[in-house]
Amino acid sequence: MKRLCSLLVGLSVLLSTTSAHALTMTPISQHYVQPILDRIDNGMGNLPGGSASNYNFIFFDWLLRISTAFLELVDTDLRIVEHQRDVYKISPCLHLDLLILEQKLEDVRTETRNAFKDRRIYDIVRLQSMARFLNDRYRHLIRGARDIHYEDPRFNWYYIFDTLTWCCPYETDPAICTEQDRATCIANNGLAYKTAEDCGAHPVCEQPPFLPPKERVCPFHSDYLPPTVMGYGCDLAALDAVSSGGHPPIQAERDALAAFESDRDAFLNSISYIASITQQIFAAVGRPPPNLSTFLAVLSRTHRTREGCSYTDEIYNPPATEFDPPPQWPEGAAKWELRGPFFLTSDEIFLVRGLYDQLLWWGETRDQADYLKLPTEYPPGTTERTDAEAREQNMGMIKKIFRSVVRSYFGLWNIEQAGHETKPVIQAGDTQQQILLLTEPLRGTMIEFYTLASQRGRGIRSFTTKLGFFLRRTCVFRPCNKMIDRMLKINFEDSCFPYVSGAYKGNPAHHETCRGAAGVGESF
Amino acid sequence: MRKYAAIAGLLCAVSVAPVVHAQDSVYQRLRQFTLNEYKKEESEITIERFVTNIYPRKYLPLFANTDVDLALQEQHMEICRPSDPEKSPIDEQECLGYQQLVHTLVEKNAWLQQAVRDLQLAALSFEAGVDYYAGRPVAIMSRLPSIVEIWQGDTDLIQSPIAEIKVRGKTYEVDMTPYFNAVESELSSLKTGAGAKEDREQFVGAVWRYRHGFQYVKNEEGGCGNDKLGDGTELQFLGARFCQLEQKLEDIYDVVQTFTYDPPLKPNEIVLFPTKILDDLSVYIWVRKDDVGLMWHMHLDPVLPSLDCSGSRSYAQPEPPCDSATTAILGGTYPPELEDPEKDEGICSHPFAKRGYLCRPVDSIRCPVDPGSTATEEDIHLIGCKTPDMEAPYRWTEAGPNICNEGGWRGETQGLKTGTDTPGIDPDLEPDWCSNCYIDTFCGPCGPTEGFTLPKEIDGRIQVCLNSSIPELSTYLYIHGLVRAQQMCDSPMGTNNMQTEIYNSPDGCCAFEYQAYLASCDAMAEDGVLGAVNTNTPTCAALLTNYSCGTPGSFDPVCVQYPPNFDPAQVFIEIGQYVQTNAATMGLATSCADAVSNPDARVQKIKNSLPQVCTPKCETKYVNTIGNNACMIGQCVEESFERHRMIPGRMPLTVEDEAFPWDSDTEEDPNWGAFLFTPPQLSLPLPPYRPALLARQMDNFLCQINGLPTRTPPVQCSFDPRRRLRLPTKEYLHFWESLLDQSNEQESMRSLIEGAAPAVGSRAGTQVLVQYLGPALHAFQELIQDAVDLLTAMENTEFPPDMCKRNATRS
Repeated sequence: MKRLCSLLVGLSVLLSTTSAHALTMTPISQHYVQPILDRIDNGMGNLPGGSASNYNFIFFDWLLRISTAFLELVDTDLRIVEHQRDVYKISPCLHLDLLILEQKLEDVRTETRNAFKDRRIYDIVRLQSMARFLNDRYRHLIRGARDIHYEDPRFNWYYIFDTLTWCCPYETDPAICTEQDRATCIANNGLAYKTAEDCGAHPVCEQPPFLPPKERVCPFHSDYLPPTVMGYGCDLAALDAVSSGGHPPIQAERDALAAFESDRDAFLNSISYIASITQQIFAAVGRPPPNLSTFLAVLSRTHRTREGCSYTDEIYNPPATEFDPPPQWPEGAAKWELRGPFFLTSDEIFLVRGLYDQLLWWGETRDQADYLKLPTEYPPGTTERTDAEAREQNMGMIKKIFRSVVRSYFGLWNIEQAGHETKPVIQAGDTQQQILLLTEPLRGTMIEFYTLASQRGRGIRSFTTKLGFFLRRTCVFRPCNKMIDRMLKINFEDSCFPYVSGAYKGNPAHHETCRGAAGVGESF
Repeated sequence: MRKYAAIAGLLCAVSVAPVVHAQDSVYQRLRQFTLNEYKKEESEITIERFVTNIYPRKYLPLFANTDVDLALQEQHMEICRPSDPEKSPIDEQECLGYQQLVHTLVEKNAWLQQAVRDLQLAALSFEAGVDYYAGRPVAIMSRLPSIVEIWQGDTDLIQSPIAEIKVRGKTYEVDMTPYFNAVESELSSLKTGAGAKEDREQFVGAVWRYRHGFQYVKNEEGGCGNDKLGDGTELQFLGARFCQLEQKLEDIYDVVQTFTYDPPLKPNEIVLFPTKILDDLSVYIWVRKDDVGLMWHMHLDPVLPSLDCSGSRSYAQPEPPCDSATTAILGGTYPPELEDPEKDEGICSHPFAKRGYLCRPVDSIRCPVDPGSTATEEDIHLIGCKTPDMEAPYRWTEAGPNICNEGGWRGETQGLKTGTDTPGIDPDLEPDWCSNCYIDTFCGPCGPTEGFTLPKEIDGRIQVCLNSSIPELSTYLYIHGLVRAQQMCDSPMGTNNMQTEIYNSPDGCCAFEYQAYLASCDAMAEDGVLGAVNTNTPTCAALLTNYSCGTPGSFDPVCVQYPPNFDPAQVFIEIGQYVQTNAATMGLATSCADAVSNPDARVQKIKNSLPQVCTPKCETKYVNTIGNNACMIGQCVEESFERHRMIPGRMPLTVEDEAFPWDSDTEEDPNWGAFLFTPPQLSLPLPPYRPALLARQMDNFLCQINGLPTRTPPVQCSFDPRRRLRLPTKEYLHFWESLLDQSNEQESMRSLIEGAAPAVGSRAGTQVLVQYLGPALHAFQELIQDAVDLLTAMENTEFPPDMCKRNATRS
């Protein structure tokens, strides 16, 4: 009974989230979400149909089966914890894509219900796989939408609803795994596997001799990011590309953004005269002109995108191996907003959590110690790799088992220790870093000031020198010549100007040093 | 007696005189006079001859010249020689009587001669000055021109002339020794005898005769005849002629006439040549261009009344007083009175003596009598006053004495480029850098007046306009215009200055114009115009000044009073007429264009004196006289005080202060520090510090990371064991693992919070600090930037390489 209730609750939960709006929009992410949708659509279109006679026998725990199929979807961790964290940070573009995935999931659920009603066993299995697939993609999307390094490892697997599969021709010899049509493979009594490795793991089958490098799929799309001046992010252009009716909240978001932008543009246009006035003021005062290259740059902003794991803008160029440098963060894009629609000050909790997650990720990707490293963890073609492979050949099984235990221990410890670093990193260095940023303009000014106050050929001393020589002409064989001579001697002596170097501090008799070095007497 | 004692004293004082060697020194002569008076044993030759001539032969028939001395020596027996030696000798008592007679005759005549000599000596002792060598008279006449020449600055010739007639000194162009020797030998030949028996009568008479020059004598009495012979009267040698001597003097005269003069002589200009002192004779020969004459070095010997009218002394022998039998001039009645010399005759023909009180009426230059003085009208005044009878000021300057400002005293400054000043308007004339002005002369209509000087223009041009109704007067008008230009050359330009203000006042007009007309009138006097119309320079200047500064066309004495009985209009007309008729002979330009194109030497001199004297790289040339040197020094000092920076070590308050009010050539004010950014005011609100909200957010965070809604107290979110129990998973293994793992899940969350919370707090605290520190540091940075701007401005201050120049707008 409880189960039934929870099932009903689960179903209704899903129902309520999508409500009665049928989304017909195209997703933002054409490289990730759209292929997902296409595959699901293909899968749904290729349902074999047909009912089985032994339905009740196979599905004797049908309630359990159906309930778990969808209870899986009600994943607190995914739905609430991970999704909820981003509720006020998630951009409308990402929200849209997630909605589209949820909509597709709803379609799958509907179809599954129909399949249960029609007792189409094979369809149910496939639909279950589709639901899991979608959920998995949802998880990856929500985790990696803003992380350019985040890969979806299972995207390129061949699931049960896909047309292609890795087929091991069980009855031929040698049984080399190839990509084949699934129906053909099953018809030929081949074994269908998700990946080439799985196929090769079978004792009979072999991996093909040449495997193309794995295509890496990243759910990252720059349109999920908050809009920035450089052109990335979920801005008006991105929203306009996908706002073809459908979702009123997105529409309202878009309209609000448009209104904000028009107000902002009007304001910026009204203050555009400030640039020339500032230049004139600085020129009148005699200071170097300020850098106004970014002033009003936002008015001439063009929308830019970057998607997937690409290195450069809009060029999909995956790294060759995992040892190659990871893709670069697009210049000017922002992973998180400092502030958001709910905060005028910066959201410290969120930012600290972000640092924590980043440190965790670094901990996860930390290399193991050299004596624990596998040969595959060395870059290919290096001597270390060949040495490690040689060592691997000679290593005993016990040692390998022991090594894997130690590796897993240290792997977990890396993550935990990285998480512990959050507090000292922030407490020890953050304040100083922020003050350093604040004092940056001051540093240049102070350096200039010190130069003018202390260097012989600059500033005060240069003026005094020139003035001395100018005044010299007005005294002719009078004591003022001696006075000027003394003044010039002191002026040219560097040790008489200790104020910048601080050499005067704690030295009560520094004037003696100066007098001695300048070679002047007590008085003239 | 006392006179003689004084002269004896003079003799003693004079005893060291190194003057001369021969017998004609002062000492010798005076000694001789005294001997002649007191000597009992010898007599003068003239007296000797006279006594011999008049001694009655009936007493001593054989009386001869030598017997006079014997008689004086009381050798009566020697003189008493009978005519016949066989006859009885002359009685001794008689002889004594005869001797006494001789004695008496000699004594009387000697006394007479000495009386004449005494008069001469009395006059000499008053007249002969004694200069620094005892006994040497001051040769004023020969030395005064050179003294004047050395001392007088050239502007004095214009502003304070000593004489309307100019005097020039000149040396001989040829060797005159043979001529002087000829005169000397001629004079020596007039003396006969030696010592006490020297017969100097003719010699003395010759020197006295030609004391005014031989031409004077020639002009008075015509050609020479009766050489060395008088007319037989007592005063015969006062009128005797000495033809050979005259001829010798005429030779000198002829030589002198051949000399050339540069600059050319002015009309009536007197040229003095160096005197030749004939030391042996104590006579000097004075040479002027128009006459040659003789004079005593010290005139001790008068022309004594002659005693001898023999043929060797006289040509005519009127019966009385000359006794033709004895050829002795006898005494008798007083001779007729000599006539007083006419004006400009005799001593008054000499150029300097002419200005003495004997030769000049004194009334015209009588100085005004001080109230407390005891002078009366009849007193003889040896000095005169030349100030015009005008109210002070006679001369008015804006600042300083403007020494030697009016008139020309310089030669041409070398190296100045100057254009040519033509009689038309010259727009391409440029100022030179030694002068504060330049002259552009224009001959043409000048408005209602006959000439004027326009105010100085901005580039220093002064236009002098000349349009005289009598074209021959153009030079004098030009001089006037140029002096007016000189007066305004160093003043500021335009009419809005002090000088114009002064000029427009009645006193000022008089002062300026008087000085200018003084120059003009002096030029006229030099050329002899004023002499011809019988007026002098100050009066001429007065006339013209009153004409200029008074009502137009009238000569009312608004500035200067005229001397009594002076008709200015008439004199004015006469001047014009004289110049018009005699311009060609005077060498004046006859038209305005000629006066400008070929300027008179005086005009050129004034133009030469326009540039500044002490400007660096400007050469000043002038004739080396003391006066000119004084002008140079004075002008240089004045220029320095007025235009140069004189005071070293002068420290104005700031180095940009103007030391002189006409400095306006400082650089543009760079306005250092005029515009500074004021640091923004720190009116920061308190940064929001909401620890309660932060704590609540942390509590929310705890619930959120556990996937639970906010609960109160938030610890309720930390662990809910029913979480997994409520939501079992599909597989039991997974369910069991998850159940066991719940605490680990919480553990990781707890460690997150444990790690994150202090960091969040630290960041929140840093935010509070940053919100304040940001604007504060910005304000501080602006402040320091202002200091940097000021110091940079100081560093960029440029000091000028030259000292400030006056009138720097003109290069």
